[in-house]
Amino acid sequence: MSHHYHFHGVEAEGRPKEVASSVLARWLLRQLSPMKFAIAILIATTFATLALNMAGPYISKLIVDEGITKKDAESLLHYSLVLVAVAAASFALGFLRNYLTGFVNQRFLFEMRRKVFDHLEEMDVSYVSGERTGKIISLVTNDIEAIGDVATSGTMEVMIGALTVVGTIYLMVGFHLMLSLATFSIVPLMVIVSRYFAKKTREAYRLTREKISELTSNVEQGVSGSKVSQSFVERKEVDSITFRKVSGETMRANIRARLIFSLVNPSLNAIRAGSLAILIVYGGSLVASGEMSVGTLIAFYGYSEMFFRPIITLTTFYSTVQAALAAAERVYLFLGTKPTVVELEGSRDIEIERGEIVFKDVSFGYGGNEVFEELNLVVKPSEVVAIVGPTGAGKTTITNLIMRLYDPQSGKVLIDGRDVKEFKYRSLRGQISLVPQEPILFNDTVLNNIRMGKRNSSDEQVKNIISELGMDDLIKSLPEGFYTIVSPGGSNLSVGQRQMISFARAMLKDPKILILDEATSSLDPYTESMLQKAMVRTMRGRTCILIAHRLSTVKLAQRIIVLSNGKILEEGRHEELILKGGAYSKLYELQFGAAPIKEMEQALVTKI
Amino acid sequence: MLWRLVRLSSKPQRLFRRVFRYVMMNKAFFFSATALTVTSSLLGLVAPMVSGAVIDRVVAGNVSDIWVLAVVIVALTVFGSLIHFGSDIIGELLAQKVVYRLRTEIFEHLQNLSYSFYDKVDAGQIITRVTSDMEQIGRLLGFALPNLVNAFCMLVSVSCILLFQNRSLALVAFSITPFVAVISLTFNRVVRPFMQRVWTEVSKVNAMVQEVVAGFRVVKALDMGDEMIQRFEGRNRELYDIGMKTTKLSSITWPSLGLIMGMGTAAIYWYGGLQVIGNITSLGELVAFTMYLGMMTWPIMSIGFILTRYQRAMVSAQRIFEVLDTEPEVKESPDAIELPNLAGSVRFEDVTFGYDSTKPVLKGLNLSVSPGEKVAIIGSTGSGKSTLIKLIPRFYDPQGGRILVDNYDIKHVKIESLRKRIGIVHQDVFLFPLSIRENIAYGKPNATQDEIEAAAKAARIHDFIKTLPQGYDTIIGERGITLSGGQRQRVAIARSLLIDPSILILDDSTSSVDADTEREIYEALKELVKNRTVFIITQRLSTLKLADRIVVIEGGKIVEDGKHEDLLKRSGAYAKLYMAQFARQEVSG
Repeated sequence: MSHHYHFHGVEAEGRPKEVASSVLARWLLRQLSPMKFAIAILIATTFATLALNMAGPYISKLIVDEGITKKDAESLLHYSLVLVAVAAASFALGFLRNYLTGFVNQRFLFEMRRKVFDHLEEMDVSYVSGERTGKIISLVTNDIEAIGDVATSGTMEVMIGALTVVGTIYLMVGFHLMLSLATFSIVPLMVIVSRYFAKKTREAYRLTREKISELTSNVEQGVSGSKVSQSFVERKEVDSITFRKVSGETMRANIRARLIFSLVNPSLNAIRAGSLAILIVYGGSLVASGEMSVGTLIAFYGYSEMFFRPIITLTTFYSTVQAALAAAERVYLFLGTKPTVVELEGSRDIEIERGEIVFKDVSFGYGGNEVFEELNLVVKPSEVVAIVGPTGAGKTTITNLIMRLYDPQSGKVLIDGRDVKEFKYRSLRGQISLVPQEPILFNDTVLNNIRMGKRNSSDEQVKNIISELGMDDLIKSLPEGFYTIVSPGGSNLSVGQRQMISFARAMLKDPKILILDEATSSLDPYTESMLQKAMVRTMRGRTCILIAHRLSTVKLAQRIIVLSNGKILEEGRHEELILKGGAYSKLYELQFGAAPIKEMEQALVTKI
Repeated sequence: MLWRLVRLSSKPQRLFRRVFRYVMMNKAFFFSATALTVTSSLLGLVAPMVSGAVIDRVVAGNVSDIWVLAVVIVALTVFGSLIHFGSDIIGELLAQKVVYRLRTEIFEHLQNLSYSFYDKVDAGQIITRVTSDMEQIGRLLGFALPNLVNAFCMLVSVSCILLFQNRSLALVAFSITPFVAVISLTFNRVVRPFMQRVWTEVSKVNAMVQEVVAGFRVVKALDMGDEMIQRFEGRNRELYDIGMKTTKLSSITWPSLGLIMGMGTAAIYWYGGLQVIGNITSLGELVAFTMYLGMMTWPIMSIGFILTRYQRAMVSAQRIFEVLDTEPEVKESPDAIELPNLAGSVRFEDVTFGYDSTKPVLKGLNLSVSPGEKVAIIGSTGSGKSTLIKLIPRFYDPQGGRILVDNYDIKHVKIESLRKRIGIVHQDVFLFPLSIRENIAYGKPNATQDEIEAAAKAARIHDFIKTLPQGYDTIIGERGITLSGGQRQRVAIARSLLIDPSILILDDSTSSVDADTEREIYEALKELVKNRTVFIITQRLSTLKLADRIVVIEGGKIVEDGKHEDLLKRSGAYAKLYMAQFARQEVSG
């Protein structure tokens, strides 16, 4: 007599905040429209299944009344075979229905993922940064699935459920009105109880998830700091106590959740039992008095079983839909966000011949912070310029503006006298290379990673650039040379190796303008000198912008620009600035303090 | 498994026996849970009989005391539910207690494992063992096993009842069960692996999204957008393909079950119906029979699921026991003594060591340091300087030779008493996501606010902390404030100052900081090295100046040893290294 009631999507939470549910619903329907043929068949099979389900108990009624009670062996066989036919048809329909549901679901997910990723590629660099990165990732990893589940199988289930309820009510009332009403009398109680439990279960499981998350953090912290905590031995006891506390809380949260979860079925079954009792007593008397046949009673029982199951699913459906709509809203809003830095109409492929960069009255800021106000800057063709200054002075922003990863609020950035906005992206970025501080490689072979610098380069060309840069040894030191696969996150290579590859990638396209944004800051001195040697080899004939902290890098420049708070404080050659005794020389002097090494320094200065 | 430091039997039965030992630590819970489960499943068997009796009474027209039967059914359901609930809860309590105990054991064991373990094992692996692997065991003990007991009970008792009631009909019923078993097995053997593959493809898709989002600036700068879209299309399509394959396979499972059940019911109705017509059985018995048949399906299906869960849980158990069985490499000897207060002399006698014992980094190294001396260890990358200092607190044991602290062989000293006296300021400062106060007092949890502030002042970080709105209570890290490299270093210095070590190890090869910060760090370090024996490894000129003795390592041995000026004059190894490493100075930014 006991059943397992299932709450559909108990764990789902949230609701849409900004966009109207009707708008979202219509948007979702549009997403489903490519599959309308499959959906139509699906709906048809669903109705057919329903009809067959309804038939089931009725046929048992016939078997009992016509076959058994009337002692008609032939009818018995006849109706039994009908039952078999119904089972076979159900099987076929069931398979078709599952398959189509799966198909619609998979297609939906596929299209959604594609749309989101395609849109992602168009977005501004400023949008895909900071806090938002987690949310964007979550769109693909969580939200799309959440929508898919509800939109396809969830909706099917509800449709079948609702129709089943309607159908069974119709049939039961058709058999006997009073008995039906008596049976339905417990429905309100069931609804209240199941909604109550759905809410409590949700909360309880949310708490367990929180605790597990805490536990994970505790262990993560302990493991990553294990070498440190081993140095501080007093820590052992404290850490153990803290861990046991979180562990204990996790245990209690799990027990509490189980408690609530385990109450659900017993409670609902108890209520069901009440209805069954009514059925037995009332229905029994009806049969005894001849008002109803035995077969009808048995069928009635069958229908009441079919009736109660969907009731539970339906009571929790509302909140499940809300949660799915919340996820849909996030995707909808993301897809609706338009990038601000776009390729303009009329932009063309322009070849950079000289490599002159001019900032004309450029004003720029983000998130309410102003970085530059009417900045004017000139970099001559093939000049090597170093930009120094404290963090936040705007050095990286300059590089972002040159590559048009951002657009200035006012003013112009000109290359060879043309506004960067006139260039097609491919043209602009195909001639300017950026080597950032943190080397970013992708999950592919080293060869392909380098090739990303200039698509359609041959293997030969890639190998040549490596030789030109003097990096043959580097490649030899890799386990599979050029064919070593960089793991996601690049953890199988050292920072130095990755940065060298990143540099080779940048040089493959033989850029007219080369930007090195603190490219050596993360490196140890040995790798740094290797990279600098490679840099020196290749800087001739290009405009180079070096953003650096290290004197060794800065000294490679022909001109140094000192930037602070978005303003140029000084500019000139290293020796000029030292003699000036201004901001630059102060920065430089602070490093030296005590005398003895000064002669060493002079010697080095003249060497380079 | 990515590593295996310990050979462990992977037979599920052996592993289960070991897990079961933990279960037996809670005998009362185990036996009562089992008893309640059996009772509740047996109770459930009564209901169809009562329904059958109802039908018969009704057919016979005898309904006067039918309400008794109705009450019986309600009472049975309520009572049965209560017992089921009780068994669930006790089962869960048991499961959670076992998991709690395992978690505590593994945590405390992890605290004792040495550096070499943490070198080899990736953090994620350890974390999963404490979290998701434990959950697997919890679910096995709390859900799967009770279900197994239930299923087994049901199967046996229902079979008995069916056979007892009506042998011929029972045989018809049993002819269905192999088919149900086959469906269940097929689902587990065939469909589940596909579901695994779906999960793998999902991870690939997610990984790619993460990669692009994390490296977005570079993707744009390289104008790789189109390529990325193409690549994603490939992965997306693979996911779709595997999803569809899985759909095809799984679509057939439940309908097949329905078909078998439907045909079985039809057969029972027909054969049983004939018996009723022939007055061999009553209608009520037939109805009861079909109900019992229904009660057989779920146990058979669930055995398949339970088996899968069991296998998965045993894989988790193996992973957990692997860690528990790993012995720490650096072990305390049973006759270890407590180290008294140290003057702080350190001596390396003929020390040979390599992370891989066949490739020694230090080869018969000798070094003698007096109390209060400040020694800088210079060498090229990979020379062994970092390795050397890791041996002093016994994070690793040398393969040959010995290390003495104040003439005590560190191998014969209690590890905690040794490490208490050694302070380490690491290269990559690791701070915990706790308050500044808690970070500084990390090594001395009972430190007073005065002590903490004194350490912070000496480390030149107190003034900065005072500028923060929450002062010492400010949380460091993602959820709080991000400190600059220089600030982190000073917090670490304060942390070391607070424990007042006799021996200090200073390894600061961090990347560039601006000149002001560098000066602050220098002043803080100057304070820190007072009255202690110090070992310095550094790339920074200012830090180098704190040393009064320089030692050069090359080829795993000490090649030069003396004062800075003297060594420079020699124009030997030191002079070369000095030019290469320290002559590059930083311009503040």
